[in-house]
Amino acid sequence: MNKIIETDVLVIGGGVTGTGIARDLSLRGQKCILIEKSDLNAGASGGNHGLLHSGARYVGSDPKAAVECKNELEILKKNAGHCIEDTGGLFVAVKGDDEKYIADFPGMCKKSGVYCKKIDLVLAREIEPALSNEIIAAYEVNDASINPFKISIENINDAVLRGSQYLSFSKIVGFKITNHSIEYAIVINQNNGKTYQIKARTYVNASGAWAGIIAAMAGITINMVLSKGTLLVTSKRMTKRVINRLRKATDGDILVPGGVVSILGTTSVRVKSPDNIYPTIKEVDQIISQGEQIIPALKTCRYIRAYSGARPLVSEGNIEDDRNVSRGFTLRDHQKDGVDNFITITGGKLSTYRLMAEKASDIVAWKHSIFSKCLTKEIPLPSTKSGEWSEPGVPINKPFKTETGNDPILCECEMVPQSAIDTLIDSIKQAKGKPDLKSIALRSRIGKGPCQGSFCSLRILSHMYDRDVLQDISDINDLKLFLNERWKGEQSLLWDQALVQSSLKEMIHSGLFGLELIKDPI
Amino acid sequence: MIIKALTIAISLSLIGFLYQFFSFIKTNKTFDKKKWRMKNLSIKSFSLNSILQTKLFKAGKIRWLMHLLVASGFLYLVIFHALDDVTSSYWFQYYQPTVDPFQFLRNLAGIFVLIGCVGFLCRRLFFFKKLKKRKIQFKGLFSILLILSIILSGFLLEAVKIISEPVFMEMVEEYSDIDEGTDLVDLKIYWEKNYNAVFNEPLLITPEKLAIGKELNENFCIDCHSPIKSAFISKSIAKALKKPSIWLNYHRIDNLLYYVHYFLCLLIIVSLPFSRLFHIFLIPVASLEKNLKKEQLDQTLGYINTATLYACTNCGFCSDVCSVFPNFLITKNINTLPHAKIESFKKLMNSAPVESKALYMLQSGNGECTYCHKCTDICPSGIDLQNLWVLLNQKLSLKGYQDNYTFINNLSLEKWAKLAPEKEKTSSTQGKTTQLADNVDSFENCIQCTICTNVCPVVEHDIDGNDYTPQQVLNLLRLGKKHLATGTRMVWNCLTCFSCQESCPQGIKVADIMIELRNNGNLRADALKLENFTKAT
Amino acid sequence: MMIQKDTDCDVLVIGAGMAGMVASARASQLGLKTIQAGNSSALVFASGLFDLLGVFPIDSGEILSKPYPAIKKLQSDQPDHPYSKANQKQIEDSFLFLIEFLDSAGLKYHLPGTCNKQILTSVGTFKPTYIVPATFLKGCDLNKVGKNLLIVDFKGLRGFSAKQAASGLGDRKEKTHTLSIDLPENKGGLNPVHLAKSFENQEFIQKLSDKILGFSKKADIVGIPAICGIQNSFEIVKELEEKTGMDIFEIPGMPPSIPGLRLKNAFEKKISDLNTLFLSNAKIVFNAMEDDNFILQAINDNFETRIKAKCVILATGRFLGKGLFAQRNNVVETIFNLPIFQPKTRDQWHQLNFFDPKGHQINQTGLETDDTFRPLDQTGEPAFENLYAAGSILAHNDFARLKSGTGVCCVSAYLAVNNFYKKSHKMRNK
Repeated sequence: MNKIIETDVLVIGGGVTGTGIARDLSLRGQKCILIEKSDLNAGASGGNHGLLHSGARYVGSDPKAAVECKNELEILKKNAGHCIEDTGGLFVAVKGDDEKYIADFPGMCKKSGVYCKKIDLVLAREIEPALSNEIIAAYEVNDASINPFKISIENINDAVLRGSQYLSFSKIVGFKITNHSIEYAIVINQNNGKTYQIKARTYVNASGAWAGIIAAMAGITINMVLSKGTLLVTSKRMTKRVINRLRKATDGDILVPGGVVSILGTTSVRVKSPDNIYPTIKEVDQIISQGEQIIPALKTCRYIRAYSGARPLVSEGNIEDDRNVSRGFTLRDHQKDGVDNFITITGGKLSTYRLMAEKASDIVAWKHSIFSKCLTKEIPLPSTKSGEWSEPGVPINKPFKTETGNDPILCECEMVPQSAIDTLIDSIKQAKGKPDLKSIALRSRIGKGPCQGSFCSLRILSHMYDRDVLQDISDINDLKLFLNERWKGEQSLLWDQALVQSSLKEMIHSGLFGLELIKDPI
Repeated sequence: MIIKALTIAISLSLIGFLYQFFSFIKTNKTFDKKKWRMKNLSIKSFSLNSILQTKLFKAGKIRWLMHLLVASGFLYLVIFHALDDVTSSYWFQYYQPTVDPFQFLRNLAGIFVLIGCVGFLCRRLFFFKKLKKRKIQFKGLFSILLILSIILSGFLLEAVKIISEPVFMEMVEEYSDIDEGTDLVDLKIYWEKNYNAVFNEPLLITPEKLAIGKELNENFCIDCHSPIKSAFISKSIAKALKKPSIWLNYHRIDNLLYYVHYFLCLLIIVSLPFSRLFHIFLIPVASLEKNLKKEQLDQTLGYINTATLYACTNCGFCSDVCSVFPNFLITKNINTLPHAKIESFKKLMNSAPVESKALYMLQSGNGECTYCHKCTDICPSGIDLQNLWVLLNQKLSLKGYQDNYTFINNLSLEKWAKLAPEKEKTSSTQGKTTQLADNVDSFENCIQCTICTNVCPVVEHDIDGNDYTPQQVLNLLRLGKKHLATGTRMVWNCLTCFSCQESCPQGIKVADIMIELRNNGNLRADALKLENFTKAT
Repeated sequence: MMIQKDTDCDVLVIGAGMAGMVASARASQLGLKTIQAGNSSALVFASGLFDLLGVFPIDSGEILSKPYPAIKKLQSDQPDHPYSKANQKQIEDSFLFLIEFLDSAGLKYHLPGTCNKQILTSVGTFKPTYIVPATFLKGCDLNKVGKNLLIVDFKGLRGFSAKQAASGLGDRKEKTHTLSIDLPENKGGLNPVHLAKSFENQEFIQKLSDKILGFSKKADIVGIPAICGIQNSFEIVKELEEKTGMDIFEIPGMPPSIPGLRLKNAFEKKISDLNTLFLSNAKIVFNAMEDDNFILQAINDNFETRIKAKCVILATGRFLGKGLFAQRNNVVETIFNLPIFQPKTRDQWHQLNFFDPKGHQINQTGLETDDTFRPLDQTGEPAFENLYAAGSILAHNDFARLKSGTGVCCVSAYLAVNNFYKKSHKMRNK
């Protein structure tokens, strides 16, 4: 007999939208279960620029999205300030860029109500010395930088506090549909392979790039257009503000500051599946060659890693340039498709997640005859302890040395102490997950610094053996998986210093430990 | 009246002595007496320094010679001239001030003192030039100028007396039976020629008259008046005074000068316990105790005999040799130099109200001291200066004025982190500076191998409980936490042994960065302290 | 304030890693006037184990038990591999030289046989290697012997867990015990070098022995992290063995490696005894040839030395050692700008799987040489008459995958110096 869990709402997908919905509905008194086949922000929410759009980028191509961004920007700055750095932004053009676009830009901004102000070129280079000498126009906008991991963690923590549940590594394998509605969802626990059922009044498909796959399980077709974008992380922060290329959107247009680094991107490559995507060398070279036109130092600076995310876009037909597909979000109540208690929300952008969550939650509330309004505009997003570990440099703002002083640092690059790792192991265990390097990495900054896991992986691993979290020699595969995960981000930019670091890594893990000789588990 | 004045002067002086004595005892009570100082008595250094001024000799032979001239000259004058009523006239029946050898010796002693004082003055002017200051401290020069004026007034008095006709007439009346007449004239002639006396009426000099005058002189004068050439200074001055002699004689300037000269002597008596001349009594006191050696810095006694501080003559030798004199030239903080610090210390002990900014400057200046012991070695007064600087540090620390190491150590790292300068609160962007710690290129090539941490002796011995290792300090910089890094124990305990920089496989200048961070921390701590003090005042 | 000096020498060894050290050791032993420039901290990354050939072919996924037959096959399959420029006797001689040299410096290594040994690592895997330090000897081939084993770790020594190392012998759980030593002085985070120094303290050794003695009934042999002292490690281990009555062996772990530090100290001391001038942390700049001599400059923070050298041994290492530098699309050699054997474009440098059995192509880049280890120019001829290359800078050797690191360093450095010596003697005798 399969286990059955009952709840009000089953939210599928642990990205910013899914967690946002879980919180929104929890605030309205609904009990949610959020299930996620891997862990938080495994999809586009974990592979984006971290840019909180002012909207100026879409004033030409997608005015509706521009307005949404502009509105959400203000709300998020007010309610989730601890997840945001209000950096400000610039739109900059160089010699050779489309003069007409430049000329039309301020007007288009005005039309959408997006703030933009022309600034003198000399002033622009004064406030951002990294800018090229060849810039021909500069406009100031309200862009900001946001930490999507923190957003998701705080969203789900708040939801859990209000009675909801989060189940990671739980994958939907099917729906039981009876009488035009889903009776229950069949879920497999990826940790132990056991299947069980979740019964809810309403099912929300917030699985982003996987929306089509999930919808198909309910017999519904959604045409997803998956567009991979690759981003590069520099070793130091290049600019104070977000820098955008003032032209029609194309590759390598944006440089977003993120704490002590900058993130340069992006590209748009059609992919068939959202699983197993990674940055390619071609993309990396393309991004750099575009970026160096506005910021010359990008040509020679050090990059510490690269990552890719698949944009979940919904199309109505054959599209040539994925950039022309609307960045506005798609919200479908599948009642009209024959399944009464099923909705899909996908598309959209990070900047508008709260609005997406609101709209989706509104439909659910209406279905449940709940008349309470959305409260996420009024009630600010709280800041919790476990949420803080996702922020770079945070540990050292707090005294991490316990009274006995016995709290060694396990990840030196990012200053993560043993006590933090223990906290995370315990919280993963509590959520009935399996603590391993990957899941710990997701919830903290381990491995994200310059050494990219060369040393910290070994220190954390040995600590896990000491704590009996890992026991057999086969658990060494955990290390291989972790290193390969980091490798996905590294392999496209291994030159100069990055290559020095990764060759040291290989000397240790292959040369000394011979991990490549350990057979992968089947 | 004169005797009365002298009695009053001496009484005042004695009262002064007693006052100082009791105030020394009082301030001595405010120190913690950790060890009984009798153990440190040295009769040898006492005798050598008090009597022979051996320390001054070591400091400079010419300086010692100058002092010897002044000391011996003035001692002679005090004993054999000022107190001649009870000394010279008592010991020598034929004593008269104008009789040789006394006349000669008096002039000699006078010129000794004069040369010595001029030597002192020249040295001081040179010293103040080195300090690039024009303002000359009053206290230091007072005694020298007083002595000088006593000598000068003395010479002047003698010279005026030599040329004085009224004095001549008084002498003739008292000690001879010469009346008005040719004898008088003959005597005058003789005196004009041989004793540089100056007379109103023009005198015709003939050999016969001279011979008579000589005979008269031998009868009445010569027993008390040796030939004028032994008064070699005064006679030259007398010659120069020939022109205004009429005026001088008419106004009886000799009397005026007598009172001036006497008054100055009384002044020196009264001021003795409060001026630099007190060193005459206090240097022996200071020399009685052995100073701590350079290596005994950790044995500072927490105590200093206040009396020794007043043995200071403000000679400035200590500051001349001070190792951190160049620091003073840069910071312009006079309290870097020993001769100023000792004055400030005295003020502090007298509980005189001192501005907090002044205390801050004092602590800051004293903080430069490297305890090299040079000032203590050279101090001719034998004051234990090195002990004094340590004591000063302790006293200031108790009042809340600390060196930056202590200041930052007492703040927790959390608190320090909140005190970042405004400029740092905005994140750093590209742009090369000369500062290693501001330039990501300096440390971004770190491969996190921890070799620097492993070779660091400070981490190994973990004195004070280190908080961050060298590699972690660099990581702090990479994470944008430079200000926090400047307050870490690691940065302040770093021995600058350079093992880390030598061993780094990536050639990162770890030690150079540590030193730079410490300098930054220093500047920030200084700025914070200054802020606090300007707020308080 | 640069101090300028001028000097000359027979051999300038550029690099102070394994190859550089072997080269300057051999050159000074032969009586050649030797100068060496480099940063010997590179040796702190060496595990202390000397590999010859551990895996072949590269994608076999299997550990070799006998290296020499595989080397023979390697020589015929890959004539460009550094081992193809040496015969078995020369390989054996070079290792013998190395072991004797280190022995004379007080660092004991055991003499090799014909088989590889399998060494238990701190993560529980078994690494194949050819020669081990004497302090590792008793722990060889544990997986083949059925001894009762105790593994010790130190609380706070990060990255080393006795339980993890023991998991490598997981099939014998009952015979394998673990002990975690908690040192009271530990304030959280022991650094290997500092912990290693404690082993030179008698009291510490006694305390440690007492704790281990508790397991004397349960175990015959004890594995301890490779931190048993920096000097006199052999004597320290012996003392522990005497006090506990059990065999003891060291287990290698992640860097910083104490056995590597022992190598560094031994080399530095012995080379200094042989009057080699060691220019620590000096960067070498090649100026020109003057007649047949190399004119170079050695520059560090304090001085600038102009060197005139008859022969140069280039043992500058790869990317970590800065012998090679990877621009975004091109690998260059950093001192003489010699041509580098490399893939055409960057997308061929690495595989998508970090542990791809074929290894990454970038690891095979490097200098190609003639049979005497002289690097070649574009025409395929030796670039300079007396320029030799040794060590990991050589092409066609993915030493991490083949487990051939020390072997290639030692063989190429030893033979390069020998080749120069022979040649210069021949010239002299003519």
